[in-house]
Amino acid sequence: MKVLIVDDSSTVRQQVRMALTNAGFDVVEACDGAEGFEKVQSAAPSVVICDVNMPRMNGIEMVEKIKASGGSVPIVMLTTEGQPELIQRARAAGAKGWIVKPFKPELLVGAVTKLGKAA
Amino acid sequence: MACLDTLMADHLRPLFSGFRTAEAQDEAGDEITALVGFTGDGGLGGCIVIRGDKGAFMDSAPFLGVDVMDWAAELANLAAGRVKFGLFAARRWTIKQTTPVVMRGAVVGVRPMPEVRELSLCGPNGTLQVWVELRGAEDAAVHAQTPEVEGDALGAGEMMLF
Repeated sequence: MKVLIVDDSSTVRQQVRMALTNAGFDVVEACDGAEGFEKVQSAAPSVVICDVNMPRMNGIEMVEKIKASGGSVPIVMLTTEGQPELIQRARAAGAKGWIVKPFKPELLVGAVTKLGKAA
Repeated sequence: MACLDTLMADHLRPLFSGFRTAEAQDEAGDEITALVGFTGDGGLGGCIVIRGDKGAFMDSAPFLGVDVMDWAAELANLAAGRVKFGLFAARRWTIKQTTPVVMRGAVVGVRPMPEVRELSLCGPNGTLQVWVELRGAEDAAVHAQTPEVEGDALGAGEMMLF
């Protein structure tokens, strides 16, 4: 199963890559929402993991753009943010989950597995 | 970048016309400072500053080989997230934050002020200093316009699937 990680921090992208490749997933990366949107089209991931605060296009805007273009890939937000109004905005935009950093690898792998099977 | 060179030469340099150009100070290159500012309703504002040398930041890194500047930014982000969670959980204040700014080679200090708290943390290879500034908390308590939203804030490491 292919997973796209969208985050402007190379540290976080590497952390996620390590957690997911150890669990047998293929991982592709993007460093902001605009590149993430392009990678959803070109790489056709089964699940997307996405930061919220990013330059160029933030994570919630990226979710809105993917859904507006007819995309149905499940998206989990992975962020330092935890305020309910933001969580509600992401949910309304079409996101399927929210994880607050720093993440537990087993939690992330479990969420990706569950959403990937459901897709 | 050529446009940046032009910008510096034509627009910024004249501002310092009485100054000569100093040599770069490579000796101070291991000093790193990461800063995140935040603001909220009711006049609330402040910032989080984390300062240390490269070794101290690497002590706190999640794995070997991390880009220390990137990690410093992420660490400041994580700290801001926790402060915001604390303010929301205790008082339900909604806070917006800036993207992190990371400086290398700059020796930053913070004047003692009533609104600033400092934390010094020693690791095997250096010390990290963390400053948190929170201004306007008393005004915010009176004037905060935080909208009523359903649900509680999520803390570090917590997950919710919809």
